[in-house]
Amino acid sequence: MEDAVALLESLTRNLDIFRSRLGAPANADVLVRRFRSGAFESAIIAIDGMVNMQMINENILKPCMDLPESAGEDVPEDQRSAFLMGHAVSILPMKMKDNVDAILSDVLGGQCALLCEGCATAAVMDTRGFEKRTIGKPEVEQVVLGPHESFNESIRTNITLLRRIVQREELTTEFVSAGGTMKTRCALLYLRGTADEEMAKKIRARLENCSYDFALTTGTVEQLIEEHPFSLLPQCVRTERPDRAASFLAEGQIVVLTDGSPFALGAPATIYHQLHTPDDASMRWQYGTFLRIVRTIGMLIHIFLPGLYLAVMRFHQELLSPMLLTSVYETSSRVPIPLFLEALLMTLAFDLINEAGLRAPGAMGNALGIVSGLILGQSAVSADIVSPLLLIVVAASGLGGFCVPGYAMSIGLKLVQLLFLVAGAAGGLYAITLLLGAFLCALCAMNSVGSPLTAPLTPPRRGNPDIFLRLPMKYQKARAFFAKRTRH
Amino acid sequence: MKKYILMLWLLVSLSLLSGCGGGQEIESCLFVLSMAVDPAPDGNLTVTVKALSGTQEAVGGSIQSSGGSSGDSSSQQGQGGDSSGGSAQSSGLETPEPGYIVMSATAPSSLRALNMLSATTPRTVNLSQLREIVISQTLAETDATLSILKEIHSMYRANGEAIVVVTPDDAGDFIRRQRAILGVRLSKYLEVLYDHFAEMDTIPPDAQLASVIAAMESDTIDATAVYAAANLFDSPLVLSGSADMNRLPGHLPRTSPAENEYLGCALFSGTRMTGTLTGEETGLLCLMSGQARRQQTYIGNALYRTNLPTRVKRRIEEDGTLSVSIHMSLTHMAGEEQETAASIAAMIEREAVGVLLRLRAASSDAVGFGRIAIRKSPDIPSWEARHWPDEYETLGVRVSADVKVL
Amino acid sequence: MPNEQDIEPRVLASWRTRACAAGVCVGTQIFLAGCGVGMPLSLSSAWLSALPSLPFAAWLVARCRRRLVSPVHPGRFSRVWHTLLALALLACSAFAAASLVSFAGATLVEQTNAAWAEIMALSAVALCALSGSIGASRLCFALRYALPALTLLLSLAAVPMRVPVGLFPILGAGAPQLAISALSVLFGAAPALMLMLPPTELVHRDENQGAVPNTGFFLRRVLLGALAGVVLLFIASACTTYESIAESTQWGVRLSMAIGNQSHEGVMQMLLVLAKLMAMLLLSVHMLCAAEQALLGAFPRLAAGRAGLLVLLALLGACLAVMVLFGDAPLLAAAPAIAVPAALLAAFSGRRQHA
Repeated sequence: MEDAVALLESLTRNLDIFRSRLGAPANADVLVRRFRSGAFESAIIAIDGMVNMQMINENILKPCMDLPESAGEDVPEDQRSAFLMGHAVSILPMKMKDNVDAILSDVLGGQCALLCEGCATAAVMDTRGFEKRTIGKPEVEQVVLGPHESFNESIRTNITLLRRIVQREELTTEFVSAGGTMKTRCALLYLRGTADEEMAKKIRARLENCSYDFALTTGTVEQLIEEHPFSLLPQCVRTERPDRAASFLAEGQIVVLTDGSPFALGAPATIYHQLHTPDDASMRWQYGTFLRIVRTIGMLIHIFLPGLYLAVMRFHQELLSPMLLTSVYETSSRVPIPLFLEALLMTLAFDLINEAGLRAPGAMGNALGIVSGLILGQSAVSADIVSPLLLIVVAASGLGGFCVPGYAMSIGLKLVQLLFLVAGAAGGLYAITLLLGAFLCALCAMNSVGSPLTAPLTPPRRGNPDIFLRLPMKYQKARAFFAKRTRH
Repeated sequence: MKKYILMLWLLVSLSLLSGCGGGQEIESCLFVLSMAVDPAPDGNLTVTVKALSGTQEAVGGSIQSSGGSSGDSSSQQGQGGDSSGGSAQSSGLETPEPGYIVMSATAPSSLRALNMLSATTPRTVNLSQLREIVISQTLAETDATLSILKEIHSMYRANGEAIVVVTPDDAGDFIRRQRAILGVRLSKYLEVLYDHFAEMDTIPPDAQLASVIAAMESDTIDATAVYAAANLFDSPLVLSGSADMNRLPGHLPRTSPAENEYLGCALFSGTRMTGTLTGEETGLLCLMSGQARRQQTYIGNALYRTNLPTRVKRRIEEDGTLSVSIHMSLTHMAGEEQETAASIAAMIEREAVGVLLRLRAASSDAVGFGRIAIRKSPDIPSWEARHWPDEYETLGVRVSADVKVL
Repeated sequence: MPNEQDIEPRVLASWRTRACAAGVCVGTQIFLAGCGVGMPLSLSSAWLSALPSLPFAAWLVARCRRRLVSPVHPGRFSRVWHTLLALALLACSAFAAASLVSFAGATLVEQTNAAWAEIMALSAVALCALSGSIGASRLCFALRYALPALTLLLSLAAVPMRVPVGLFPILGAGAPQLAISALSVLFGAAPALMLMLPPTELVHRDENQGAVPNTGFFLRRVLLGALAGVVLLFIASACTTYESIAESTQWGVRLSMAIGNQSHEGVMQMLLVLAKLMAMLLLSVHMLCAAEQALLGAFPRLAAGRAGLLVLLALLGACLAVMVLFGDAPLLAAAPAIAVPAALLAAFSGRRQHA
């Protein structure tokens, strides 16, 4: 690693360094403006399109250039930047830096640097003014009741959205850069005294020690944080909703925001968080509990139904009622392919339809569902390529998968479903039971930033009982178990 | 290292996935719903099965009889049809039932006969959906029943809830005659049939395959099976007795497309059939066994709702008498009451004693007094030294009934 | 002895998890031992012969607690002690794995090749053990009430309890056979030996070496699990005649003894079978993980690359291979011998070790 390059006292040489690092004048985005500010010369460095030009013109250039010629005569050379900040520049967020790399990183992020002749310290001001998406509605986590704001790609906007909800002095924001050469700015937010600061340290260390060249999205950041990269299930919870992220903060979790990504990560998380939706908290507890039960049933159907179907059909026909068996027997006799292959093909077809629907734009996506679901399915049954009962099983399983709130979780469960499908075909309920035991053991052994994934159910931990059932508010007197202080 | 171990295991397991699991495609099975066993010449057995054909078309038997014909309808054999070639007396035997196929095979044992069916069908015989096993009375009166049932239960994993039926007719013809006259599916028809008759207490309560095998192996109770026969409307024999159900099957004065009648009980002593009970007597057997389910009963011309406020007590008295005491309350519902509580009680006592005497005469401890007697023996050798089946035949019987009419 | 309130909650939670896992394991092994060894000897009085396992389990637990408080100091004796413990636990694991295969072969996968069923069982045990004992212990803790309750309820519902036909004669095949059976099934309490080792997550936490809960803490949980095993054995014994039991030569068939008459029984029987299978799997995994922990106590170098686990899996595979070749009779004949090292280990755990 190269030694950190410090600023020089000569303005011209400093500007040469910056021009050479940024590739100016070939790099047309680089703005370098020299001007007279009182008794000495100064310069501003910024990136075109990233900064708010009006702010620079009115709050930096004009006041500095309007200074009388004698202004700053008596100021020591190394204090000149500070003098300008104190007497001319009227921008609030400001830091004094003397490291070229740090200044460059800030300039590239949309801030501007003010350098003065004879001064080896630059003032870096937040003049970000790049175009960004407005605050819109959530795309993935839509709710019936509850707010309709979502995060966008600007980390500052997202932090602001959170601060609007969590107006507490303990709310702390730490900025961390993740990535090697192309750094991505991440923000760790937590409530001092509530969240376990050891966990925040752990997350920070993992982000800072990232060995990848770049970590552009929340998904990549999540993979840096998680402890079990080979696990099929996610270990953090993701949300695009500020209200949900605020609830994470209140529970004692650490929220990680990534610049350029409209999703926030909550860690540590338990497996039960993956089944919670923002609607649960907005509704009365009876409705919330009922919907959670429905979601759980949907999840179980999604995971187990195809495998159980294969297991019963191939190994345990005695479990079928004779009437059902008669129907299945008649239809299966006409299908030319083995049952396992049939199930795999149908599951794959369902996933294909799903993926195609996601990629096909707008109205085409809706039509695709109708075409593939109704016409293809009906045609396949009429042509005796698949049996109707298997079609129902796959469709029911797919519907169950849609009940799972998190997209990442639903993909993970899809993979788990395939494993159980293979197990059911290979060894019936015996293999399914063995695989279930292995899966549950692995799940119980997993941690999320050092916190057990299946807690507080196992291992037992005291904390908020809002795990599976959405209890009435008066019973939720404690925070989650991983908070430093569980009692309110 | 952990990753490599995991990968190695997965590779080994996946490479062994094909062909070793033992699973079967559903269409490679022959799902048998009814099975019949008849004696055949030279000590052989004829096993007839009625199975799902997998199609709604009728399979087997090309002869369409016009009802009531005899003698000339047995010569042709249809596709997959019956190979035993017996002559049929009614139209139902040749007319194939849509959705089902009837096949039979003859071999020295039931196991070998089923193997032959598997080999010639060609499908694996699957008895997991078996609803009934019909055994010819001639065969049931020998010691062969237990071995047949055990072979079917253990080697072919037959459904333990299948009902064991004994018939004086040809068992194969019995199941050929069976049709789902109400509803579509024979399996559902049979299920509802047995449930319904069990509710009426006209068939014994523990006639399931697993229970019959357990009872035959046990010294403490004797097995009972459903007694059934076809009513061919030749000459309805009116037996003595005032109750309508106090008959054996095949003699009920009725007409119906369903020729088979399930009524009464075949009694076993050990592994051999030794007697029968009529429908009404079977009801009393259920009552004395403590498994009565009947809610209503006709006494004379009156209909009563029956209730047993306390369990029926079975005891072996100090003098060795087999004693049953029944407490019953009757609620009059309809009809003209002709009997008093005392006369009803006396009638119940008389008829129950009659049933116990018949059981004793048949050496069949169907009520289960052996289960009470065994409690006095501290261990198995002392129990076996008692020779309960021999002792049972010498003991007196007593029934006391206490009836309240509300 | 420290009170439970004096111990840090997370440490206490780890001990609770361990103790509950031991309870589930002991209950399962008592049931397996009763069906495998007790029933052939005392027929339907196997439950009666399993009762002495309860005080034996209590004695083991008390000795285990003493060992936890004063662990064996490193040395030759430690190596021998740990090796013996590892072998005893491995034997329990092999017993449970063999029962799993036998039971599955008699109920779920009769038509499956026995070797294939064993490979599946071994793979599942290996996959579970790879997560370490933490995963299995936590799973046991989560199921500590659900699994026994479900198994007991399903047994009661699936079995005709109107007449407990197997209850008499009370002494089964006779008093001498009952006594031999009682001695033979004592090894059902052997899984309690896992309590001689602390939970893996506490092994490196020096500040908690002295913070072991009192004996009652462990006794409650282990005895509750053991009692569940005895009750299950009672249900299985009481509702099947001694003649039927005598006819059942296969261990797996005796494990599945629940003959009933109700039409809804098919699904309930299946759920019961699956619950029992899960219990057997958890028992096998726990014992294997505990054996690994003990083996590492004797040979710390085996920690590299989980070599200890590999060695134990190989031995487990060998035991199951014996079952493929010779049936379950040799394993059942050898199983009661597990009680001997269990008693020895417990006896030596009553002495304080001097450095």
